[in-house]
Amino acid sequence: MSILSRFRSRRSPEVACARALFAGQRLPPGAPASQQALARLLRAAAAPGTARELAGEVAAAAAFVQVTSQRKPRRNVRRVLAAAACAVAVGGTAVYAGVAPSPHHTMVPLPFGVPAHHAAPAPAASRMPPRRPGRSPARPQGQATGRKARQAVNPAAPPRGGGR
Amino acid sequence: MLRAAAAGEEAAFARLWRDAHPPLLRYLRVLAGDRAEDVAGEVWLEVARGLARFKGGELEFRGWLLTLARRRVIDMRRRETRRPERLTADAAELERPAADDTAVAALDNLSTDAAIALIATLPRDQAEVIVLRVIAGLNVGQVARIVGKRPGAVRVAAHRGLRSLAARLGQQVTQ
Repeated sequence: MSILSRFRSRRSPEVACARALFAGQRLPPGAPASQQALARLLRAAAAPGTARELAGEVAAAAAFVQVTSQRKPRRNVRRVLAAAACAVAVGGTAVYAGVAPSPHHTMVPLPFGVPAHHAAPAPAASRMPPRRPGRSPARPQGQATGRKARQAVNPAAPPRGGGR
Repeated sequence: MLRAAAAGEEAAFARLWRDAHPPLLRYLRVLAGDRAEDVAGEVWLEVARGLARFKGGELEFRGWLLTLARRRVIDMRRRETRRPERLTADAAELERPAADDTAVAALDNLSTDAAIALIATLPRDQAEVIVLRVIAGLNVGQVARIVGKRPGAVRVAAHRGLRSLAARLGQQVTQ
């Protein structure tokens, strides 16, 4: 199609009528009777919904409620399950932390009839080997010795330079 | 309204349905004939399930709705192709009315049903494009996306359909 014929076809009354019909506008004056009839036909086809077409509104709304009500509990159940799982995890950890002995906790056997605050100080650590008087405790070879280590062996001994 | 319906408000969904159901039903009458009501019910169920995830305005919603409807009709035809014994019975149900009868009816009272019936006598691609453009109020680009054609092909189909309708109506006017 040449440019001229394309230009002519765009200016043709038929195309102008079609544009008006698609836009829902009035036809240009002098439109042929067939175009006028076509406009009436398309207006009728695009008319607002009839009572028969809209008769199913209640059923459609009921179906919508049913679908959405089925959808919501699933979400809630998922949320509740997730929250319960988190609570169990956090609570279990807290309970375990309260019950289980900590690595720095020392079990001190109290003699019968002696108040706890009068009891002898705890040994350095329950995992430490038994002390032998006058000897340093056995430790792995290469472990550094220092003030803390000496204090651990003999807590009653004052630290060096700390007597002031 | 769309947001409220997507949030699960029944009243908002009812308003949405009132606006969009008539064009949907008329589109399906052209594509699926007497099964339009059944297919429309399936489409609205699908909308109810997916509305919470939908994002877009009113025009996009209308395009989505009609796309769902078109897919449903295509699935229906595929099922019928797999079961030819049902196709024979359904073909009789879906038989299109003669153009002359519907044109006379359309000119006599110009009811919506008669107008849709006359449009449905066109070749299917032309009738579909005219319904989407005129009744659903979609632009050429949206129609092209829905029917899977280029905008130029949509324009051509629309003009051919209008020309055919005008010719049929002109014959009735002059008779």
